[in-house]
Amino acid sequence: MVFNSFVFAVFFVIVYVLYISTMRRRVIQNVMLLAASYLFYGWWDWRFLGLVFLTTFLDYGAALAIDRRRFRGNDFEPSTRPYHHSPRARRVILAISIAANLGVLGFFKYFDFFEESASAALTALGFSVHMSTLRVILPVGISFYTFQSMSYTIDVYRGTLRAARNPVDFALFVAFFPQLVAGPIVRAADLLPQVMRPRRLNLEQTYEGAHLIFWGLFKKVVIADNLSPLVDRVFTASETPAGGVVLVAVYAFAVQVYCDFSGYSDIARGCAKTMGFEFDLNFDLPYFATNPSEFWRRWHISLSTWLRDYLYVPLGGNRKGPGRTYLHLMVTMVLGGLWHGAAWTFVLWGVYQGALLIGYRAAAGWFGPQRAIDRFASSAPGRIAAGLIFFHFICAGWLIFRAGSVSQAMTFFWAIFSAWSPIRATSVVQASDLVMLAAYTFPLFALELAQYRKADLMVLLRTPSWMRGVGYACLFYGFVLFGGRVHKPFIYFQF
Amino acid sequence: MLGHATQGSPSRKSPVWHALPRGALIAAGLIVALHLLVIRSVFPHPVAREQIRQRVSALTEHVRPRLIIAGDSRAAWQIHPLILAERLGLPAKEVINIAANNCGSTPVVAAFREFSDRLAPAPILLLSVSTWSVNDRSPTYLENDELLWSIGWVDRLRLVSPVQAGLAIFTPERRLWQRLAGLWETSTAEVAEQGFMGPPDNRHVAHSERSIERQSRLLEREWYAPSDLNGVRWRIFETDVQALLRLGAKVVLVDCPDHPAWLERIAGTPFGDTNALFHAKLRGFCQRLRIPLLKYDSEWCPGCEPDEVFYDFVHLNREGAIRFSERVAQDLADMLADGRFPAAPALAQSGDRAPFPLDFE
Repeated sequence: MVFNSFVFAVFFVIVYVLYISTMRRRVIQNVMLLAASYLFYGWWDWRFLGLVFLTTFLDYGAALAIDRRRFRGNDFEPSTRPYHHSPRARRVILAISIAANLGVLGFFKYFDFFEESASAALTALGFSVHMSTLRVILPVGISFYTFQSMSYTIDVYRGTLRAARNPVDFALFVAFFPQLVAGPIVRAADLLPQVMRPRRLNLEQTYEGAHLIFWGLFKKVVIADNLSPLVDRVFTASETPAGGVVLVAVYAFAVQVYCDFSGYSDIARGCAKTMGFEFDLNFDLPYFATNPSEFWRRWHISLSTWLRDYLYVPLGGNRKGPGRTYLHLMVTMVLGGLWHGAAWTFVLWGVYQGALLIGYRAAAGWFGPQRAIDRFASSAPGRIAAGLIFFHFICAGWLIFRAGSVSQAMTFFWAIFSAWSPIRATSVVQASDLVMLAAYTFPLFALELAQYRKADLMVLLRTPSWMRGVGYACLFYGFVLFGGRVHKPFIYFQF
Repeated sequence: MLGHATQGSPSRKSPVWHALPRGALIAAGLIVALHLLVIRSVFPHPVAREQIRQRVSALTEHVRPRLIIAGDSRAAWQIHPLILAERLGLPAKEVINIAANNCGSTPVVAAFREFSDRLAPAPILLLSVSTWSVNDRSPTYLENDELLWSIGWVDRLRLVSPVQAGLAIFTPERRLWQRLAGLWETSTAEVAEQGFMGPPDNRHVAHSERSIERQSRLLEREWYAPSDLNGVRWRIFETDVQALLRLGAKVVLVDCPDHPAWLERIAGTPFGDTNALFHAKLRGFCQRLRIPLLKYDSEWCPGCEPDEVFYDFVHLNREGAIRFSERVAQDLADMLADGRFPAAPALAQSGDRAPFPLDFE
């Protein structure tokens, strides 16, 4: 079931009522939430519940086994068995856990991609190859919950977290329905303690949660879904559109993917917040970033921090000189791109993001605090200019991300930069589409500008009641007038 | 929603007031007030969609039509007003076509009610009706539809999802928005050829396996999905026709032809049963109300090759539209000759005179 559906609304109301009625019984409450989460996931496809069980069982056992081998001599809790301290055993168990998780992810997500790519490569080299493709179905959310579960095992191995003893608590951490299918990727250190202790509700949290749900739905149903036909028209056109048309479509996709994904995250955080759970922010006004480093501190924060903590830093981070730093950045971003999907466009997108980060790092040393350009960049006009310029670098990446193939991406770049032509009367995009893009982007930009200036994502909640009322009424009419025309699945469900 | 402590002295404000989601309550109040204002002052009755309203308005600006063609895509694509005007000896501008894709009977009633003073007294109204518009199992075309606007909650929930039923409450607001947005648009209403739309292109029906599958899937799901045809939409159809009669229209129902290959395909299946039930109910309804019915079976065009005149299984192409218009015009002329129903094979025989004299006033 999707967040923007009547079925989910009924499901959530029922779960919430049951949640409230079990506030004094945490254990029962957790069991109820777990059952609801499995029902939520099974609604998509009950066959893949087995994978969730497998990940849960595997990492629960692995973490316990690792945890029990972390003590020396008498330094253990009386309730635990006195295993010998065994670093090697702990490493082996961790390796098995990671290999199993990545194996499952690799098979379901990348098997067909690698098989087809290998077949194409061998054919190009002159070998006659015939491989039957399995057409493996991609289970929804597998990229998210495997990463989330792996981070838990790794944290237990590192000693920053103790293993969860209660299997229900751990299973709920893995499968908690608000963030199960499309994130955010929540760290065990953040969510497990909340699962393991009684929750307390207050009105402020409930209202903030409801606000997040409402705003998230607006971004998804009104903005993202209404921009998708425009984007699809251009990227599925039989002939290469004019450069101006491609540009408009890329702008539209930039807004669409942001509203789609951040909308989902907001709904997830809002649902959790109404139940007393706090998820970390996943999007922090990313299009206000002025450089790639800042962008990745604002966009899909749960993934970027996961890649930083479990891939970039273990590789060596920036501790081994500029050359190795650049290599680590590139590897991290390429794998991050590949995480998004099994296609060469995502790999190329990752390469592009890595190149941006490397380029920024390399160029950053050129600008010292005394230079005029740095002073300009710190000023308001400077930040606006930098933001606008960098936004176009982001859009170039989105063009690659959205393209159906690498060749289409290259063709579209050519249309923009070498064979530019404006929108014509016969284009698949018309002036009215530009007006529509501006109209849908305006409420988003207006609110986010206020959030940015006040440095407060909940700025609307701080305004006078009458202003909030008018704002909510306007958003409601957005739903009424423009919502429901187009029904598109959440983009990140495919990842 | 969140109360702010700095608004007013806390000692004077009730803690209950502070706890309430004031923003949401104010928003709800604004929405209710605006809704009542819109439906009470702007739209006291359901109105037709803007596409139809604009066409009727443009086509009745200088003349009061005496013959109106209305209904769904089958009327929009294949009943040409100019051919009817020529065959019936009427001035071209007095025959108009206001039919539209996915248009049932309710928008026609709404348009007729709104523009009745711009039509000739007691005009003849040719109304095409198809299975999809009276089948409760085919609600796909109800989005933003006048029908949902016209019925109560219980009937709405029988037809569509609760979300769609809820959104239908705000159909007046959507209509108002469309009207306001239309002030900025420069597009003109489709009034060429007296409103005739015609098929979108000049293709002929395709019999490839893939095309048959695609058409069949669509029709089985959207038109002929097995239903008792005794649900909400049939009841609304009967109410609408009676409303048109009370508004003074001389209603003539048109049951357009299907491709023989389609009829063969569904014969003996539940879809064929739905089709047969629809025709039987339509005939019975017309006999009961003594309304003329122009019913066309697969023999409607002697000497025509079906594949040459059909666009798809249920619509005619341009060539077919010309021939069909000529056939309809001839049948109408026969009916008008003495005001009775002629005993032609394609026509239902009521056995009695129509409740109204079938002529042009």
